[in-house]
Amino acid sequence: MASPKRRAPYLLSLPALLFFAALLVTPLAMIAGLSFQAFDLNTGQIGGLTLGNYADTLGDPYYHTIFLRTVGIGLATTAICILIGAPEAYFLSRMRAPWRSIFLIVTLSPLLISVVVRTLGWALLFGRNGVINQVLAALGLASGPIPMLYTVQGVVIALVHVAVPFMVISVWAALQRLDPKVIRAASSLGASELTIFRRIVLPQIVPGILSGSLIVFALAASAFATPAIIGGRQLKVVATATYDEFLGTLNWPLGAAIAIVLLIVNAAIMLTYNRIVERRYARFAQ
Amino acid sequence: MSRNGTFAIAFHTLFVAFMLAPLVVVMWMSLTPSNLLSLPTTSFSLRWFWAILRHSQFIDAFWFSILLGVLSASLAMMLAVPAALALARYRFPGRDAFVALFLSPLIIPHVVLGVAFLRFFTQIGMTGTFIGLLGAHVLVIFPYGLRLVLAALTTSDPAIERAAISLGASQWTVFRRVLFPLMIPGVAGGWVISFIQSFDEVTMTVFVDSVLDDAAGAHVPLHRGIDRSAGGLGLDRRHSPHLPAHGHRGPHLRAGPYPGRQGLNARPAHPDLPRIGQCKRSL
Repeated sequence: MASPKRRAPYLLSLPALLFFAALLVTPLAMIAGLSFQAFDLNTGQIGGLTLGNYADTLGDPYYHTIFLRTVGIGLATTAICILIGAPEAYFLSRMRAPWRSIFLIVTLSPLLISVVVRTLGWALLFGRNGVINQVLAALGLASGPIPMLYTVQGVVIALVHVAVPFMVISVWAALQRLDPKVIRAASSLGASELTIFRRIVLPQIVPGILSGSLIVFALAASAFATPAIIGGRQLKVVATATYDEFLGTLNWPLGAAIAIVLLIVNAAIMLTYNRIVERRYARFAQ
Repeated sequence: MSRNGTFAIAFHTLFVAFMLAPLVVVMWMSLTPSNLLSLPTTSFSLRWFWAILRHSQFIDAFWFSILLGVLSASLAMMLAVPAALALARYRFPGRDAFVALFLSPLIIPHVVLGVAFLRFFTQIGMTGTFIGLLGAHVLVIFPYGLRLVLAALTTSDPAIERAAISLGASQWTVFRRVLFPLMIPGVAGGWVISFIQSFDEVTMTVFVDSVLDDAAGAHVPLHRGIDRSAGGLGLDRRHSPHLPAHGHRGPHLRAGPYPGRQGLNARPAHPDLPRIGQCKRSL
């Protein structure tokens, strides 16, 4: 009687397990294997075991720049998302009935629209003769066109647009657990708006900000479409560099090595961060 | 509850403007009659929307995306429902590892997945097949579906199932009459989220698909992510042979390196390097 009961969960998850073994574990193992193989640039042949791809990836200043730029873009995007997403979630939560849901939908609606379309919109805004520069010129605020397309700032702005809804959702979820009585008590005791935000609201939404940051950083550091369109050919990040190795120069082993390093760095950052957050804020999670 | 002050309202207005700006610009651009986005504009036209209808590749791409989304979301739910039942109703050795494995596509960068699929499909000779693309999509959207079904199951009371069993219902009856009705909201929500994820997936598809184009010579869907929207017209101007693209004067779409496959194929390749199709044979 106990045996079929014990087998049931394994049988139920078997289809999904087989599927994951075939389409996740095998491809990742293959790509890991490929990253240790040598590549002959002249013949395009692959063969022989080597650590050369990792040496190239980790030792070449060219890739250092790309990795640092990716991490920098990720950090900058995360910081800006915290600065604008957290207050916005707070203001949203204080709105009255119809407005609150309307603007929550407005904030989240870009999630339903393709990243490519949104990035295209930014490309139109950013160009030398794009909307922003035309408006600035018409107002006489800028002497010449301000470069935004193909710059790090442009990529960060577009990525903030892609990622900030996730920050708003996380902080929003944390705000829902906030007891309005505490705020009323503070206000009846004479605390100013700013004090209430700083001493009561902020400490309670920190877990929300931290979990939002994790999502935002992961999105920004592994983004492909946005840096490809806004950053262009020169301003490479890890994702677009991997693409170039695979489909441009066709050096698959090197591309595989870059991809594996990206995977490891990404997973390491997320797991470490998650562990720290869980340890520090376990008491907040009831 | 206290009201928002002037600062809050101003901040909020700027935030909403920021969120809507690119969407408004894309919509606006789709309604301008000229090839350029000119400011200020006084005339509007549906010219580009008619252009979509005239170019069958956009329509084909749209239906292809729908078909792919429907099939992959349905398959993902078929795999996710039993797995969610196992994870929600049983405690067994290896359960945590299963959860980690099933949710892992969420934390693996899609570029890495795209590269891995590209290699995998090349090795097993499934390059450019619809089945391959379908499988890749199912894997990427699986965690979203799983999470919604899991959420529906964990919030429902297992006592109801036990009551049904104690009243003599068979396993199958319990599933059909009790569990499944309880799961329906989660399954439906999971299906919709999965469909949207599949429809919107660009990064990984670019890798799997780039080979599809070269190997099969098929001129199927470009820009799966864009094609459904009028905003895709920005690209139509570039691709259409009848409409000269004024990339140097207008919005710099032309310079965008790889918004899709067109950019890839148009890129001047190293003359002495093999094309993907040939490279595949040499690998």
